[in-house]
This record gives sequence, C-alpha cells and structure tokens, in this order.
Amino acid sequence: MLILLSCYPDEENVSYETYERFNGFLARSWCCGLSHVLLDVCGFDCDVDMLLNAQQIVQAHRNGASHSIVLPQCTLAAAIEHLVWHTTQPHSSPQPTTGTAFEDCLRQSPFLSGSTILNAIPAQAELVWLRRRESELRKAIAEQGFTSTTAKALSGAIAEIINNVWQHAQTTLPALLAYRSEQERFSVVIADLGVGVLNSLRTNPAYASLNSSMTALKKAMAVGVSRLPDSDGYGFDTVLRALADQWGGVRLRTGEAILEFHGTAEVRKAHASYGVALPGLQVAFACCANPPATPIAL
Amino acid sequence: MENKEACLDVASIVGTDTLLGKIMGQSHFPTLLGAILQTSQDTIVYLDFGGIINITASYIAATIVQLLRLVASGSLGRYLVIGGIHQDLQDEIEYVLAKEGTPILVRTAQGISVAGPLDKSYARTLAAVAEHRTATAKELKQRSSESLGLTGWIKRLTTLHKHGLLARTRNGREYTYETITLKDQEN
Repeated sequence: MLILLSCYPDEENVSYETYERFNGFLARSWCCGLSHVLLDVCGFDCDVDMLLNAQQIVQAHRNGASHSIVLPQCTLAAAIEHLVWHTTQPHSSPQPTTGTAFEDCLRQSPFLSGSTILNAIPAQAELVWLRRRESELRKAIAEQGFTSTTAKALSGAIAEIINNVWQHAQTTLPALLAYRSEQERFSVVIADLGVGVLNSLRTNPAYASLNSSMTALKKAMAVGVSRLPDSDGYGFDTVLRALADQWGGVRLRTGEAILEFHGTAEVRKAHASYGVALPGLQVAFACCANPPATPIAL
Repeated sequence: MENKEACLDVASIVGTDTLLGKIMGQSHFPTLLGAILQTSQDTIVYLDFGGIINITASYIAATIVQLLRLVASGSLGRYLVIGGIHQDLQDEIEYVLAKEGTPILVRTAQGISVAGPLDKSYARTLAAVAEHRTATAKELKQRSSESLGLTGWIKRLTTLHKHGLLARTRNGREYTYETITLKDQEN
C-alpha cells in the first residue's frame, strides 16, 4: 500500500475531528505494518506544539483511488515528532506492532523524487536491511550535490543511530527512518518509541542518579556513555562530526528535553528547550551541500 | 629474522563492503579473529580494506580496536597491518584510534606508517630502529644523543612491541627489535 501525503498552504475552517481522523489513519497505517509512506511536506519551521493546534489543521479529502491528505506546513522533524506523539495517544489503536517492508512498491513509485520517504526500522537488528538502507541513503545524498566523503559520513551516521535504536531503545515497537533529499539539501529523522535516554542511562549504575531527560541527553552526547558498562558508542558523536561543516543542525528529543546543535566544528552552538513529553528518542538532522541563503530549519 | 606474511581481504572475509555500527562489528569480530588465527604465530597479518566502501566509528571500535587490545595483551601473537583504505575512511579509523589511545600500522603508497596516537619519544624510537631495520636497546643507547638509560630504551622498545609496532626475537639475554615491513614494500 502506498500513500501520498500532499502538503498545501494552510487552509482554515477544517475541523479538529477531520485532522484527528487523518492522524489516526496515518498512525494506524504505521502501526499496522505500512512501512513506507510518501510524505510530501514543505520545509517550514513549525514545532510539534503548533501542530497540535486545531486552528492550524487542514482538511483530509479523498481523490479518486488515492488518498490525498493535507498537512500543515512543517519540518520533517516536527512531522515525525507529531506522529510519535499521536501514536502514543490512547485513541491511536491498534498499538504498534512490527513493520513490513514495501521497498519494491516504493522503488516503482513515481512520487519518489523530491518526496520524503518513511521506512519502518525493524525492531530487531537486521544487518542486511541496514546495509541496503545505507547504500540507498549514500546514493540519495550524493545525488544532491554532496561530496562522496560527506555522503559516506552522513549515511554512516544514520546507520550508527539505527544501531543505537537496536541497542538501547529496549522495545519491540517499530522505529521510523524518514528522510528527504532535495537540491543540495538533506533532512533525516530517526524516531523510536523505546524507553528514552533517561530510563536507558539509569540502568547503568554509573548514571543511576540522573533525574531529568535533559541531563541524561547531555550526558549521552559524549563518546562511551550508554546504559552498557565499558561502552564504546560513537552514535551522537558521529552525527555531529558528519554535520560539522555542512551548514546544518541536529535536533534530539527525548522525554521533555529538546537539544539542538547548530554551527561548525569550530563554533558549535547548543540550544536546550522543553516540549511535550515524547516516548523514546527522536534524532533529526538537516544539512546543505553549500551555504544556504537562509539558515536551515529543523 | 623473517616473519611470515598473510594478506586477508576484509570484504571477502566478512562478506560485505559496508561496515556499519557496533552490532555488525560484534557479529563480524569472531570471523575476522578466526581468519587471523588461521595464520601461524608471529605472522604479519595484512588486513586489506581495499574492498570497503564505508566504515563507521562504532564498527571500528568493535573490531579493529578489539584486535589491537588482543595484540597489546599478548594473546593474539600476530602483527597487524591495515591498508588499502580510502582516505576518508582512514580519517575515521585514525579518529577512533585517537579516542581509544591505540596505534596501528597502516600501509600506504609511501610505505608503512603509524596511525593513531604515538608519543613523540616512541615515534623517535621507532624511527631509530627503522634506520637500521633492526636494533637492540643497547645499540639504540649507543647511537642516540638522548640522555636516556638502557632501562629507558628497553621500556620504549617493549612498549612498541606490545602495541604490535615492532617485531622482536630473543638473542641470548637481550631482544633484537625489527621494523615490520611487507615484502613487496621492501627496498
């Protein structure tokens, strides 16, 4: 099954119920095994809390045999964070199970170009799947004007984050890999529904005293900090290095904590904030092959 | 003295050209170790990464770094040289080795060099041995203008050997140390 989600400029006069029906549909599609959805969202800065505002919601309508659904304009990170939020709500049933691949369907799709692709990440480590995704990502990134070295670094960083999900999310629920590549620009989100960074780190006696998602998230940014003693994890570090000189940013969200990094390796700015509590960990990053006219939004 | 050599094609051994993450590294490690241990004791094992397209930091930590720890503990009994590595992948390997504090020999077009952290005094000692290809601690002490006692030279050479950067053979009461080279790179 393939769904195209189209994005139009904001339309008013859309009921919250319509919006909720759409999101329930999207969440259930994911939960019930729809692992690939083409999400055609325009880049626009909008956070998850804005998405929750019914006034910003637009209509869902049916068009022939395919579903054409209107979304508020938002960044990829905001869209996925909202999907995570919605999936965890009581009315979002059935609860997530494992995802099934629809790769062949996606490859034949005429909507691939310029669209966002969602992949369900297997709940258990599947190395063949990981290699295939890394290869696709590397190719997609290189096609947008990034150097071969950068493409390798970015696709490798995504593979590291997916490894983190398998190692530390501690859930049988499927996670999501979403990415969008367009001219000289690449955005990606890896979102899981696991225990979150705080609960994960606290199982390590060395970090048992951590008491907030923010302190846990900041702690987890360092190499070798994880729930496992003698860990040598390089996940977040790899992402920050891959993005160091690509005019991009990284956004990490777990519990109520949101941590963003912008800038280059020499001058990196971190910004901490708080939002609606979300389960698991969502890692989003976006970057450019060349200096963008306007700062890149996460 | 002459060490045997063995060339192992990493991509063929692990069956893939992309080496991604800790889980894959842990899964490949026994296969890599098994291939290395099939060579005889004291063999110079050249790990050829020529067929590798991408490698991540956690994979390096789960494989190369673990092999180097076996070298340092004396339980591997082989010398490791890596090579055939694309420059961007070598940068990643050097980054991880620096973080983990472990050096390794790398084969490049210019010859064999050390990647990863190596204190200047140890680098000088390695170069001093390389000058004559082999050396004992006593010989280094005689040749050098450094005000370092025999025990100091022995300590440096022992450390370099422990990290797999110098081979050695016992001659009576002392060891003769030798730079590690691959036959097709010898003069």
